[in-house]
Amino acid sequence: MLGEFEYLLITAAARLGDEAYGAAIRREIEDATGHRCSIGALYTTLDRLQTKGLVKTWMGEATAQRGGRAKRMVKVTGTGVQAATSFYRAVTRVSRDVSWGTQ
Amino acid sequence: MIRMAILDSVLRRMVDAASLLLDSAERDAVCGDLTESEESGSRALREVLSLVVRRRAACLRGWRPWLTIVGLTVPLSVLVSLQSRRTADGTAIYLWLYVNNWDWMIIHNSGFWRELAQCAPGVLLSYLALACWSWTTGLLVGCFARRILWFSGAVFFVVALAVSVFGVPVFFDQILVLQRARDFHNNAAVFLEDFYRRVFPQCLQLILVVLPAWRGMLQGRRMDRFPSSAQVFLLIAATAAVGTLVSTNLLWWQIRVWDIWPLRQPRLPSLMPLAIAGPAAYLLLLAPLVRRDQPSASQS
Repeated sequence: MLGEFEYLLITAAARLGDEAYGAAIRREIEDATGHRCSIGALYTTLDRLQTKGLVKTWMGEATAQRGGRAKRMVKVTGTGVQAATSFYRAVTRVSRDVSWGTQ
Repeated sequence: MIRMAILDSVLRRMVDAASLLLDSAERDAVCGDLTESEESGSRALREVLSLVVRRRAACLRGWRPWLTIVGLTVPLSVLVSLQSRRTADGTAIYLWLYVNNWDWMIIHNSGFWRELAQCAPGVLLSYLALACWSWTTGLLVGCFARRILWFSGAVFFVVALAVSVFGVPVFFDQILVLQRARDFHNNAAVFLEDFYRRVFPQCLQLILVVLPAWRGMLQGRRMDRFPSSAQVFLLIAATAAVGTLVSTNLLWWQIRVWDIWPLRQPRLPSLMPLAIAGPAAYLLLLAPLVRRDQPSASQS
């Protein structure tokens, strides 16, 4: 079972598709949650997910916008998609008949 | 405004310095992310440090790093620090004799030179042995605690300093020989001097323990550049050297072998060949590597 932050990271990476890399995922998470996402949490979680085989990462191209530094690109694997789907279903099931939005 | 810009520039330099503690690929990705996000200097520094701390802390997960620290780093640090204290106190008497009681008349005295010639080699040998033992202990720590060298090294030096300043617990007092020259009433004049009592042991520890041990740690971390057989040879030599360090500090061992042939009380200078075994083996193994690298360097 994924952790909450792991789910956020995988979902953000899946949404970004080919454009998924450190800074972009961080922006997605911050926009979605309204909270700061630390680089430390992001990269250590990314490593954990990679170890579990849920994402694949590699060094991408460098851009002038980044001061000539390379990006760490991220792609969600098939196992990652399954894990995120399972987490989403569990959250949906457990939330059934609970109307948080109206309280 | 200008002050803020200067502060931001200083913080960014600190970010660059802190990011050196990360792997090169990760450093690229993180610094690029921070540039792209246009984070302020203070925020960027906090972000990089948080990642560095997480990465370092991750190395301490599990029992192996702690076993290395408790089973290797701490005992070696205690032993080498005790040896440093004993060497400092033992040689302080000679230094006091020749430095504090020196005058122009004494150099015309033939007895002065004869005594100096007799004791100087012993003092120098004990300093050389201490430096070799320190380097060897550093090498072993660097070799076995490669991934946590930053932490293991810090523990090594903190324990060495603590032993040097406060001594060791009473339990160890009964196992390890802690009799030092300052314990004898006849040497009271030497240790009445604040320099020989407090400053000199710390100076000796800095020069003959901290610096060689640090060097040894850095070289031990790069042991994998040697072939496996050479690594085994070096570890055997280092273990033999540490064995002599242990034997010089164990009271029960000294009592057991006291003048019993063929086991003599282990002490310098007869221990010297084993005390220098670690550095000697390292230099021996390093020579072919240096010779191999030289032609390629001259070609390029």
